[in-house]
Amino acid sequence: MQEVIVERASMAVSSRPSTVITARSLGSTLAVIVTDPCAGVAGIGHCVLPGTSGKNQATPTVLEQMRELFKHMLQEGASAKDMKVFLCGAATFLHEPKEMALGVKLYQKAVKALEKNGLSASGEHVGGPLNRSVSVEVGSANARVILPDKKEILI
Amino acid sequence: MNTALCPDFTLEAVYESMASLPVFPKIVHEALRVLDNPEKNISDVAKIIRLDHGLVANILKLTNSAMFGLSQQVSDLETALALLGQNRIREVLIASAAMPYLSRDLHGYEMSPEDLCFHSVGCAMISEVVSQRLGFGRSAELFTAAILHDVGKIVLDIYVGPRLLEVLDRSRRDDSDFSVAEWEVIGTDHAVAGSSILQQWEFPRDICRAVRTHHDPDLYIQNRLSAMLAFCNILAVQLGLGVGADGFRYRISDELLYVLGCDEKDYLDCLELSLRALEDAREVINLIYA
Repeated sequence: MQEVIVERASMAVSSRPSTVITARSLGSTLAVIVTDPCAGVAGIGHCVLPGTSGKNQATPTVLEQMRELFKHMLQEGASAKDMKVFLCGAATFLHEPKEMALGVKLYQKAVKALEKNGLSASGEHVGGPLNRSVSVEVGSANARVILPDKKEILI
Repeated sequence: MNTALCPDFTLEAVYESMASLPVFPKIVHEALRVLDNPEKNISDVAKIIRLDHGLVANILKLTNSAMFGLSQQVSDLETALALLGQNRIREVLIASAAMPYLSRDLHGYEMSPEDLCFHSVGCAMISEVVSQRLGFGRSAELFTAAILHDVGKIVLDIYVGPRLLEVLDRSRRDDSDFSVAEWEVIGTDHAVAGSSILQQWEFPRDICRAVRTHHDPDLYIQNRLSAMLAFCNILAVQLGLGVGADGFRYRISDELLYVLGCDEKDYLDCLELSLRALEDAREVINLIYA
């Protein structure tokens, strides 16, 4: 088994059945997980910025990251009709001013982008005061959430 | 037997234990004092630092790291100090001295040694870019407060570790602020405990205050250093840097951005700059651990 770690604000796609793609300690950031069980392709896009700050921004916004993730999925042989999307992360503080509600903004943007393209999330584990990690096994297309107490949940 | 009537000496034990903590290295305090004295120069700082082999090694490692991209290896302490400059020297001194305290497993907070270390150093690195972005002049004090802001967790975990599970349960059950639950169960919180340790280590009063208030939204908005520390900590938690079980179990003041004089775009900008600062944090941790 080969584990590929997705760094913050980056993405990874693989068609190797033995590969596990992991995004660790998401905090309020959002992991968009896409699988195509028929084609045997899976990927994770790690989204940090909900929008542009407008100052020589090098980090992709959530929409740019999702676009890039889907593009790579198709390039690896995934088919639009068989793709499943999962969302994970987007933790929130017990109270946060709306300007700083990073998790909420990322989640809303991602859902809106999916809806615009006639898609919806097949599963999600988002929000609340929980720091999560997530991994997807390319071979089985199983996406797992890892909670702070190391418990794992299949989404 | 009504246990509510039994005296609980938990808090006394916590504060007594602080007195037996190893002291913050005097050599670092002395070097920092010399560094801030306009009548002293790099040679004076070098004279103090060279007595500590660990510090010398860390300074040379940092100067020769990829961060500086020098074409030649530097093996002389004074040259290294001159190349690093005042701010970097301060950072290496504080980070080197703080690291032994920060490399600990905190079961009660569900944090590994890497979590606490990465969170503290990451928060310190974030403080640098945020200070620059928001034009905050006291970046050196903020850096110190940021790297040491969670030192109280160490004491509470050592002496009341099992009771922290009760704190977490209570916070989850009541959906209450983790600090409130710490007060209800232990009679103090890690921010207050940390501030007491820093006072004992003779850190300036403003740094102690910033550490004491970093989770108290009503208090941190009263002072810019405190507000900056709270902001940097929030960015570190949102980016998932070594987040413990308590990480998101706090409330953010609605006035925080206003007090810092910034808007949503500035916040996003700080978030992006923080992301880049993490690379530096990784490098510093690797260097000091190596």
